[in-house]
This record gives sequence, C-alpha cells and structure tokens, in this order.
Amino acid sequence: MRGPALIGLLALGALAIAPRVSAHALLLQANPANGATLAGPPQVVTLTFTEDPEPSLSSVRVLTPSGRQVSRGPAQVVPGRPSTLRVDLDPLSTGVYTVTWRTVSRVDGHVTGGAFAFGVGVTPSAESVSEVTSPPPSVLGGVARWMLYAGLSVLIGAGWVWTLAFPGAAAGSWRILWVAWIAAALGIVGLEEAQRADAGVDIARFMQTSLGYSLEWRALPLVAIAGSLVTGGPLTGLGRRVCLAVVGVLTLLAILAHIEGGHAAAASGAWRPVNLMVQWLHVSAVGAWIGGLAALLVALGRAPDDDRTAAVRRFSTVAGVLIVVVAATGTARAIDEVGSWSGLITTRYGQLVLVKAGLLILLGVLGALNRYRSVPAAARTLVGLRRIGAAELVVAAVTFMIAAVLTQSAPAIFAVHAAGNTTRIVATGNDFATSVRARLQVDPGLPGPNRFVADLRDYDTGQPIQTSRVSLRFVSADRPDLGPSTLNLTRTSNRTYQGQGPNLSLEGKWNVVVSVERGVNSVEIPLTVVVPSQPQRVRTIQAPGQPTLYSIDLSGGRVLDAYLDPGRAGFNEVHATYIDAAGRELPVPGLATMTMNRQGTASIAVPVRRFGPGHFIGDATLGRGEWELEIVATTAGGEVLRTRLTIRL
Amino acid sequence: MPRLLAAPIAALVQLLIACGTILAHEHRQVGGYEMIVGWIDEPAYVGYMNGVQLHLIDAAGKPVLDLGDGLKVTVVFGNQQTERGALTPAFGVTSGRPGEYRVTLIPTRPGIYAFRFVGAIKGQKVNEVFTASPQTFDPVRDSAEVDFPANDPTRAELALGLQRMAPRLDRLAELADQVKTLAAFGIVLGLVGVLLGLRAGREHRR
Repeated sequence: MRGPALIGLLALGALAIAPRVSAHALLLQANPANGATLAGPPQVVTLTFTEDPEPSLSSVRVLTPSGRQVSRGPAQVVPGRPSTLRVDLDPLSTGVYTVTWRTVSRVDGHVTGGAFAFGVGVTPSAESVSEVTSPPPSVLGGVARWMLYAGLSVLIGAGWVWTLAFPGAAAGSWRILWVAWIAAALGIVGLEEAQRADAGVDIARFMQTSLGYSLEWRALPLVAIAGSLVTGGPLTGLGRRVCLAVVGVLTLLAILAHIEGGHAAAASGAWRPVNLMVQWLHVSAVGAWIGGLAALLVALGRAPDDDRTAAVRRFSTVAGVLIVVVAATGTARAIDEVGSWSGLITTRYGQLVLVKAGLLILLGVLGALNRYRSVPAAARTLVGLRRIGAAELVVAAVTFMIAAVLTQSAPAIFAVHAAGNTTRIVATGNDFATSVRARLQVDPGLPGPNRFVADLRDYDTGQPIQTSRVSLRFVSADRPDLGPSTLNLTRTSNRTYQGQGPNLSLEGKWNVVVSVERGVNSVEIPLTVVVPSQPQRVRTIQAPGQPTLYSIDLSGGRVLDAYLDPGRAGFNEVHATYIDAAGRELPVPGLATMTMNRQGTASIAVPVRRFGPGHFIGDATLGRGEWELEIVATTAGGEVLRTRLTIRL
Repeated sequence: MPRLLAAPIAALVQLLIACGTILAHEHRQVGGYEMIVGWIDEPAYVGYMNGVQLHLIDAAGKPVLDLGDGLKVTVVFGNQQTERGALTPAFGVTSGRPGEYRVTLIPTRPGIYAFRFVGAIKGQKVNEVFTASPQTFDPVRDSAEVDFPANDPTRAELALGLQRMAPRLDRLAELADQVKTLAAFGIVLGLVGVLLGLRAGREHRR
C-alpha cells in the first residue's frame, strides 16, 4: 500500500513542481480604458499591472495621432500602489490618443509592452486595439537559471548528505563543490546580463534599480559560501563537516534571496510571507533531494560496506520526506499560479507545468525503484543504485531546464487576469453545406475598432483549412440603413486569419458573414455577434429629501440625467433628460424607449411620455430589489443613444 | 406644372440611376479610352444571372459605338478562369445606353472575381485585369441577406452539401457493415453459449 501511496503523492507533486516561476508585469487595468470615449479630457493616465513595474526602467507615453507626445515627465508609481504607474497629461483637446507602455517587472526583470487608445469626445479609431508584446524566453536567461538551480542544489545536497547522512564522505572530493559554486555564480551573472539586455540599459544604470539590488542580495550568500569553501578545503574531520554545514545553511539563505526576487514575492498582504515560505521550502527540498542524490553518488564509490549501506538508508529515508514536501509545496504554488484546470491545458504555461509534472512522475518512479529494490540490495551491490540514481539526475537536469523556461513565461493565472480585462466576443458557426466550421473572436468586443481572429477548420476532420482569401462582411441588424462593410483578413503563423477594423461601429446585433474563398469550394458562413455598449461612467448625486440622480456620460460630452420619483418600491416615475455638451436640453425627435428587468428575467416595456424636447417620463411599478433600466433614444442625426443603469430599490 | 416638371425629374432619376451604376464600377484610362467595368447587376449574388459590363468612352467623352469583336473578356475566380468571348453591345439605335457592352455569366461561388480584357479597341492594344474590391466593384455574395420570406440555400451550397454528404454516407455504410459483422459474430457466440449452457445443464443433471 505504501508504494501506490507514494506514487500518488508523486503525481500530486507533479502538478506542483511548476511553482518556481516568475511572471510578467501585464496590464491589468487602465484609466482611461482601452477604447474608452471620454466626455472630458483626463489629466492623468494610470496603468495597473499584474506585478510591480520598475519605474526607472518603465515608460508610459501618450501620443496624438500625429505622433506628438502629450504626456509630461516620466512614469511614476502611484503612492501606496506599487503596481500602478501614472503619467501626467498636457491639456487635451477633442481627438484620439494612443497610450504606449513598456514595463520591466521589479520581480523578475521581464519586459512587457503594449499600446491602446482612448478618445476625448470622439470614438477612438483603429489604434485603440490593444497590443501587448513580450520578448520570448531568452536562451541566456534560461541557461543562467539552470546553472543557478543546479549549482545551489549540489551545494545544499552536499551540505546535508556529507554531514548527516554520510559523515565519512566529507573527506572526499571538495572540487565538486567549487564546480557547483562556479555554476551558481555564473548563473547569477548570466541572469543579470539577460535582465539587463531585456531592459535595454547599461550595467551601471541597471545595478541602480531594484533588479540590480536583488541580484546583489543573491550574490552575497554566494560570496560567504566561497569563504566557507576556502576555509573548509584544508580542514579534515569535524572542522570540515562544520564548514559543510555552514555551506548548507548559506545555500538556504541564497535560495531565500532568490525567492525574494521572484514571483512568490509579488503577492501582497498576509499571503506574501506564506508564499515566500512555501516557495522557499519547495526549492530547498528539490535541491536537497536532487543535490543530495548527486552528492551521495559521488561519495559512494563502487564497493559496498557497512558505512555506505547505512548512508544509503539514511538518505533514502530523508529523500522520502523531501519528496512529500516537494509535492505538497509544489501543488500549493501551482494552484496559486495556474489557477484553473483550463489554465493548465489551454495556456503555454500550464502545458509546461504538465510536461514538468510528467518528468516528476518519472523521477518518482525511479526513486521508488531505488527505495524498494536498490536500497535493500545496497549491502550486496551498489550497481543498481548508481544506475538508477544517474538516470534520476539526468531527468532532474531536464526538469530544471523546463523550470528555467517556465520562469520566463507569464503564469497562467496572470494571462487569464490580463485577458479578463476585455469583453471578448466569440461566435461560431458553419456554412450550409457543412464543409467549414468557423470560430470568430472579436477583441475587445466593444463598439469601435476591434481585432478579428477567424479560426477555420474542416467540418469533418477538424483540421485547419487552406484558403486563398478570407473576408468578413458586416451588416448591422439593428440599423440596416448603415449598409454593409467588408474587412479582409490575413493568414497568421498559427493558421488563423486575422484583421482589425472599426466595422462593428455600434452596439447591438450584427450579422457577420465569413467569406472563405477556395475555388469551387468557396463558402460563406453566417455568424451573429452582439456588441455590448461601451462601459459607461455613472455619477450618483444624492441630496437629502431628493431622489437619487444618476448622471450618465454619453459620447461627445453629452449626458443623460435620470432619476426615479419617489425612488421606492411601488409606483415610480422614471425621468430621463438628455443634455448636450453645452449643458442645454438635447432635443430628441422621437419618444425614447425604456425597459426594465430584474437579473435573469424578461424585460418589461415601460410606457413613456414626453415632458420636454429631451425629457421623458416612464411610469413603472417596481418591486424591491435590483433593476436594470435601459433607455434608448435616437437623436435628430439618427444616432442611437443606448444607456443602461442598475438601480436598487 | 406637374407635367412641366415630370420630364426633368424623370431625366434626373435616370441620371442618378446611371451614376449609381457607374459608381459601383472601376474606371480606368487605357490609351485614349476610358473603360468602366463592373457587374451588370450589383450587388452580385450567387446563382443569379449577371455578367461583365463594360462602358467604353473615347477621349472626346463620347461612347464608343463600334467596338467590333476585337476585345475579349476572361472571367477569373481563384485559380479558375473561363473565356467568355467577345463583348456584345447592350444598346440599340433607340434603346440601352450607348457604349455599353456585356457578356453574361451566372456566378456560382461567392468571392472575389476578376475580369481580364484582351484584344484591341480600334487599334489600341488592351490587356487589362479588373478585380473586385471595395474601391472597384462588388465581390459576389450569398443572397441570404436579401432572400425573403425564406432563406433558401443556393445551388452551390446544395451541390457542396451533397459533395460533402457522399463520403459521410460511405463512412456510415462502412460502419453499418462492421456493425452487421459484429452482430453476426455476436449471434454465433450467443448460439454457442446457449449450446454450451444446454450441455452443461445436461451434464449437471447427470
């Protein structure tokens, strides 16, 4: 029963070993938001990221369509909110403004950049499609991390195995410790160079940043370890074992310094020390397990004796405990950074975690073989132990490589958070002849410019189809008088078709036809997308004895003022007044329409009467609870003003 | 008064219709001639009679009335093309629009078509390709957006649907054969089981 239980624990740990990873400062929230249409000019732009950016290496610029910069001074951290950057703006006139940003994460030095647009008094044009870019994992960064992990693992492994499990080995090869130290030191140097190159600054400036300080903190324990190695080299017996123990403790400190500059430190509040502790335990346990095995194999020699047999048993017992720690802490960290089953499968990060999990299961199987076959046989022969142990080290080396790649990838949970910043629309369908399936993704899925990505696959086989030309034709179902528009898509490297344009110019229902040209097999695929309204800014004004006034910003500086009289459960008059940018009542030729509904229920049409050129009153009897009020009016120019408001009675 | 206005209004409407037609075409200067090319009916829908329309004007702005058979048109779609031969006048002495030439065609697939004109206009050599685009003339589209009251599939869609159906039916037939084989095998096994059961029962009674 112990065998399956151990394998089960290993499988659990497989989900976990992903953890030692860093992240990217991805854009979580922007104010003004991507694609927003503001009634008045903002004075600042604030950007909130998934991790704290390093302000001295990050930049935020706001540009006019002609490229003139309207932001003043460098980006600054908002006091008390280290993950938010702000930049002040010159006075803005009506128009579209593009925000370009580039951040270097304080946590791991990874670079991320992007651009989006907002409009003042006008709907932003095609520039408002948010672009986010991040350099691919660097080879130097990956190699450096691998060397750091391998070096620290051997140091910590030798630190405990040669003092506690196999004290007699302390007299053995000291050279391997120097090799491990050099690997770790080169790892830190390589990490510095990779982060500096990503940030695009010289070394003097880089070392003045939080990333430079972080690397210095990592280097300090290594310097102390070098001192211990120098001291312990000529010693023998107890003195040497004491030096080894000091090396082990200093390596634990080096791991802590590394963790402090990693993603686990990005958490805030009470969870930060918990995250740090879990991560530190995890990396230390991995190092003690794998490094300990390496140290044991180096010291064992070929012929068994009583001391060696006892050492093998002691190591095996401790390794069993370490595997449990690795599994438990790794699972916790993976849950924290992957976040969901879908994230495990659909994101690159999650897929790497799965690969790593497979390697850990393999390591567990090899470890179990050693524990239940090689260790009992160690009194007679060490051949099996050495062979399987060597195989374990090879698998562990590959696992470290995967970890090195993972550390340079954005964790799945952050990718989901960043993606969640939009209201993406997805529509699917097929042609009448059931020859092609289409999946159309629209980002950000708001009225105005959007990015369209079409995934076209054979209806039967599910394979991506080859086609010479793909285009989208848009017809507004609500406003057929607008006429159709067309957008040509271009093929991308991942076999989808992509384009961007302002074709979905209004909220509401749109018929989108995907035209797929491939000779006699050309087809058209009808799809329907419903574009939600732009996020609205609602100001609530409350005065004693007066009903609550809701002031809703519309495009072009216009406002809709609405209130319920008396604003309690029962009969209410719903007042809605349209105000133009000059503060005058905005004439609306036709009657506005009002509908109300509770969440999840059908809408109720509210009878409306006119009270002024732009002032309407709806009569509604409403129960207690939360109501969604939708008011729709059409201006003299034919523009549909659609507003939604949530009211609690 | 209404009678006095009727003729000018009719002329204006005619002019507007003509302008509308020409606006959805591509205008191109070829030597001393202006070629105005597009579909006869726009928007062009799959499965409906249509064709290539050429309106030819000379340097003096007058329609070319005697094109002859020296100019031929080829319709290109993807990697397929069809030579439609010489253009024929679409006007008479008192009817039609002078200078307009046509070749009829029923577009059977949606997408972007191109018209290649090769030959000569009164000695002026011509080798020009006109391609549908938002700036020129319309691509061919499905008629779903104008179908009423029912949105019926086009002949092309039905043909493609049948084409896709055949291999599916073949696969189903193959599957049915496999099921039949399995069923026969199951029946035989069942019979063997029953016989073995009977024999076992008999031995048990002994």
